[in-house]
Amino acid sequence: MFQLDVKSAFLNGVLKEEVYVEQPEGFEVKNTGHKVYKLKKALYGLKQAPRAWYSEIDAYLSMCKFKRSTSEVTLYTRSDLEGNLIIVSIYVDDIVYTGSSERLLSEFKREMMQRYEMSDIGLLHHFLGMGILQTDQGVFIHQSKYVKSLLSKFGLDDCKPVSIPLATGEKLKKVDGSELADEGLYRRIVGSLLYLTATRPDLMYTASLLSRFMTGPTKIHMRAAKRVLRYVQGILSYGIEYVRDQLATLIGFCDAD
Amino acid sequence: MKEELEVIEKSNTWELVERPIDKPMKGVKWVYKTKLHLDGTVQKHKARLVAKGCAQKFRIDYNETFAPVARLDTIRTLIALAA
Repeated sequence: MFQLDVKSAFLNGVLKEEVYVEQPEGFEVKNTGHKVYKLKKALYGLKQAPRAWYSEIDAYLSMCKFKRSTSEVTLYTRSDLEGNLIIVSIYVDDIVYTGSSERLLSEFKREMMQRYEMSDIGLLHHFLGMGILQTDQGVFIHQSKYVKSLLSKFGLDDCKPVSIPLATGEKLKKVDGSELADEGLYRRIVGSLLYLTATRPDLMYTASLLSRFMTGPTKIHMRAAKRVLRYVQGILSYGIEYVRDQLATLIGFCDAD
Repeated sequence: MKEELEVIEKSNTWELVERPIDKPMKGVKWVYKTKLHLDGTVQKHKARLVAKGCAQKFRIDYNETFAPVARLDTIRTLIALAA
């Protein structure tokens, strides 16, 4: 997996609308104080800037014979005659790509560098707050930095860890007789936990359960949410490992009560 | 600031024209950001010229604004595939 970063991406988006802007104060072109700029391409801050950029990169990738996925419109693929494949994913100005042949990869990089100002990040190691470690054995993804900032944000840096996310035998109810808790804080914690499920599937059940009480959470719900943070504290650097050439097996558990 | 204006000129973003009488005009302003090194020391002070998009009116200054981004699940699947 490799990453490219488009510099000043939004300045590449071609505008369909007619937009005029004043000259920036102190930077007026000599003797043209009365003139204004007519925009051909987007500036940061314009409402249509992100869309203009997406249209631009979409058009360019299509021109380069990439095929856009029908179910994920920011995913593009291209294959060569020998059946090699390159996959490209666009996240605003970040481009993540991977492929089965060295030639396809360098060809793509060259095409992109030709068209846009780019910084070549090389191997993908960080994306959307997720850490990515790539080795010959496989890939490991984690959010340990995010977890640490999360714990300090909620004032739990030095909390005592617990070994399981939920208390056994505790059944959460919408109305449980305890006082109402700070809804904003509760929502922030649960939102963070949901984001953490990206590399922590062990939190999936807990986060989904806690999400049911987003309106009018009580002190008991809050206590449960904070407990999850204590659980996370115990295993800060856990993540998902994808081992190369190893078939994944899916195991399901079920419990009815 | 000079650097940002150079980038704007280089990417052929705008052209200087006579002020049209019947077209809405938007202001621009500078937004400053201090970029840090990983150790917290100052790397550079970056200036970005932005248009005041808040003054834009739907159907007059812009039409469509939706732009898709990749889903986190997609990125993760891609990582699993690449491993």
